[in-house]
Amino acid sequence: MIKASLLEIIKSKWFSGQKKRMTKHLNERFQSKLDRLEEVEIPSALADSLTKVKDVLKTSNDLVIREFYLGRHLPSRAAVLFIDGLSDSRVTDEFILKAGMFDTSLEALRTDNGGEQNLEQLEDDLRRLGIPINELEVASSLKEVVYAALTGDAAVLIDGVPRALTLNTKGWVQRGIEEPSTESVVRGPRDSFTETIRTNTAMIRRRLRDPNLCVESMTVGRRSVTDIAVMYLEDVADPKLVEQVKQRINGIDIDAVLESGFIEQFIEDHHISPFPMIQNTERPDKAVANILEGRVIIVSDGTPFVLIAPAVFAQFYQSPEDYYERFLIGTLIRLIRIISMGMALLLPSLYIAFSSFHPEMIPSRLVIAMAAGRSTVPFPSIIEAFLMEVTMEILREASVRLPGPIGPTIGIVGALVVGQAAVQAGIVSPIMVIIVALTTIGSFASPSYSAAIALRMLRFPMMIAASLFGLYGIMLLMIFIIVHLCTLKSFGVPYLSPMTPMNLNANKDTFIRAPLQWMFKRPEPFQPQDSIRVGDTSVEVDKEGESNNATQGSKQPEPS
Amino acid sequence: MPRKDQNNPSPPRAADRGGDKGTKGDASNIAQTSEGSVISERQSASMIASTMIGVGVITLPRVAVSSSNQTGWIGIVVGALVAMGLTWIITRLGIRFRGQSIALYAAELMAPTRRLLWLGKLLALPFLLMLLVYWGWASALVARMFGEMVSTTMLPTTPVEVIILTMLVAGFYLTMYAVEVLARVNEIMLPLIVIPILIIAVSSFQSGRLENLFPIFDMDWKMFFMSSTIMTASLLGYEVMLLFSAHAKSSPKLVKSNVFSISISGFLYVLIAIAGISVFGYEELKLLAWPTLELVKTTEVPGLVLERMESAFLAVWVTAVFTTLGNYYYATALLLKQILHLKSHRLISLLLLPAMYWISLRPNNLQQLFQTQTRIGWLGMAGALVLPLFFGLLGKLRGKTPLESSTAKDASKGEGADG
Repeated sequence: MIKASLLEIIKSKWFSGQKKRMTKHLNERFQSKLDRLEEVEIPSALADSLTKVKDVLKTSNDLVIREFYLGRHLPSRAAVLFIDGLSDSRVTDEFILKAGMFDTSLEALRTDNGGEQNLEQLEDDLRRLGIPINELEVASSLKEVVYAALTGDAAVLIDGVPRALTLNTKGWVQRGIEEPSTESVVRGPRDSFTETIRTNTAMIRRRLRDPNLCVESMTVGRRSVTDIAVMYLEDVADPKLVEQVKQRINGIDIDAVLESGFIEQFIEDHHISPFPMIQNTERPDKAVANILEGRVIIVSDGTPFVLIAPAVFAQFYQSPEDYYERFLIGTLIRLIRIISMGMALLLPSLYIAFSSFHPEMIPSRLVIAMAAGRSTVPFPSIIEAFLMEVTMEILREASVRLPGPIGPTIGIVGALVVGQAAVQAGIVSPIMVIIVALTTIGSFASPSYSAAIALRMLRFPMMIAASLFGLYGIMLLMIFIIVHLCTLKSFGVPYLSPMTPMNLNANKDTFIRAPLQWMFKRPEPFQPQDSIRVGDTSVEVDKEGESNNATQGSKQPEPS
Repeated sequence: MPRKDQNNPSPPRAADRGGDKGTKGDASNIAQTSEGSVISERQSASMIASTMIGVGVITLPRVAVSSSNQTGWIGIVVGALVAMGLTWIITRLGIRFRGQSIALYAAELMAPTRRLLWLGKLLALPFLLMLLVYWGWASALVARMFGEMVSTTMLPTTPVEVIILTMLVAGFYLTMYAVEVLARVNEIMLPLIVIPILIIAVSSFQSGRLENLFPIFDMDWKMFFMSSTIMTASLLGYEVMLLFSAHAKSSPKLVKSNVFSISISGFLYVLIAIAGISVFGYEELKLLAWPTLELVKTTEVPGLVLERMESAFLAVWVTAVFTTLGNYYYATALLLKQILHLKSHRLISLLLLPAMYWISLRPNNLQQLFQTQTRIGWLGMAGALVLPLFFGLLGKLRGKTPLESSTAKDASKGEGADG
């Protein structure tokens, strides 16, 4: 109910008057060439149409126009046009030019060429032309021709025919499927998404041979015209959620989408929040797992990062590996990850709080050692901590930018300089070095880069709060963060669900990772239509080793 | 859509408006209960429990023994039973007047006829003002109490005003959002409140002496009644449901979960009181300003990871104080909004912020603070006792709908349990 009404508000906000004025501005500025071509029909004469196409793409040197004679007997003048580099030239050579020149017969087309042409008949005939390419469309406007060329298809124009054929010849140089670089696992599939949308959707489809898997395509970006695919399981995902996702994507009015991050920022619920409201992944198995939980996947062309909506907080310390390992191991690893994220957020501020406000809490021997270490340090602990943390952040950023071979070197240099030398120079205390190291390692243990960034970001206000009020300040800021987390909703799903609103079933997969047999229901916060995930276990294994077959009915064919 | 909710207050407002459509009832209802039913049973229970468990726990053992020596914990049991009965009535009232808060149904019950609703409103006003004053005052005093505690034990050089102000600002931040958010905050913070007390209570038994608790039934009726009344007054917090029940999902489980929530806090209170009495003995306990903090000091952490736990305990305790303060603050603002028939409570809570700060600084010293707290506690108890009983009885006498007859019967039963 709340969700539905939220939708209405979103509608009213999105399409309010101000938005319309902006759109008008955009329309004036971004009235692209392509849109203007919508009305232009393809002329009958080949020369005319070629002139028009050249006129549109006159500055594009990569446009290839090859004129040839189509048909073995009674040939007709024709031309194929495509963008060099976007189309596979082997395909254009062999299956358009060769087939067109030597294998095609134009008799069907020629029947009533002279008089008034029956356009429908003509289009039908064009489709049956002997060109052995699987995706073939008949275009009637110049826009379709130009757009086909721009997307990597080839267009064939024939003299005397006011229609064009667009043929799928897409084939550009693309990166192969490699190992995921940000979400690597010890156990689990090694493939990751690539920059091509079709490859990505196919990788999802390959793991989910369910006819209910929907792939809805749309384009975003006035200039970039980027392909977006929204994927979900029709009988699992909440239709309201799907509708909302599609509506928000359709509402995007921007000139270009260069990465799925653009989509993410436009459709997320809260812009001013350090926490990511939409999850992203480059792992197909993770995407599929999320589809199976009733979420919606947004695949965008040109990036290996796929968006997952809605996101909840618990997802940011869950890794696909948790589910592949046995449950005790999965749970343990997950707990370790939670601890390490806590370390990443809190350790420097706890150091500040303890050393400057509550030294009485530290065991007395340690406090003496700490005091001895700090005796040469001229700064208060907050300055010391800031100095080290900022240096660490710089080192981290620099190591991303540095070219590959130098990358590891900077780590050694940084560790040596920042660690050893700074202590010897008396700028920082040895304990601080330990803390910075633990913090950095802790933040790398998070499987989600965007969540780790949020914690990295919040670490600094936390340090300031600790320097002002000690432990009280840390707690106060934590309360602010918790309240903030409670206010967040991603596509109508509370961000802290299933912890609050409490849902015991979905909590089998938050702090612990229950055995797969126990998680027989999909998590309720996403309101899946088909809630049952696991049936009865088919085979009961006896302790003695005898297995008795306690069979049950048909299980749903779902890859886990 | 990038501009959808650029400023913070807008998402809750969206939820506000969203709820409007879902609320069933007449026009006057819609104006006031703007959220619809958003509080689940579990959230409602945790709201009660986390409002009850607050700054009072720190002084609880002393208050418990003040009138009935070592048998003080029995008073807590009785107080919890009374609180359960009252919670039961409050919840039944809330279920009966679905989607209405005390501000609405009090007026309806007091009005002779539908047309004289204004008269009902006028008659109900003193009762509502009683609640309003209690809630507002209590949240300010909670901030002050906590400020005093923090500045004596944890941050001796920080002025108490700063602590009070930061706590109030935290509460203010919470009131900026919808009731839904309040419920979620309470739900997620309850474990953070319960677990530390459990640990403290259980681990302090290591230095406890059983003989301090004996003789168990060494009291007369006067002492028994005194201690029960005092403990009833210190177990306040459930009365926020008079207001928030309007937003709760009315299900049969709601009554059970609300009553159960009292047992959570009652159990913890008894545990802390017994721990305090058994460790210090009642004579010493009467002299301690912050007995629970002293209790924390006696506990030792195994392995000596941390020495002197009281700062850590107070730090964790911020959540408990925050939920009490925040819930009362929110209730004050919301009730004031409903009395004044305003659209939103945000402006009110902004105006309340300096007022509460002023109130919290009125007591000049700790002694006055404790006195004020006791006085306000009596007021709160009067409110929490009189309102449910009075309106429960009134509802019974003025049976209107078939639904009412059963509710009123229940209400009278609950009333019987108190006596």
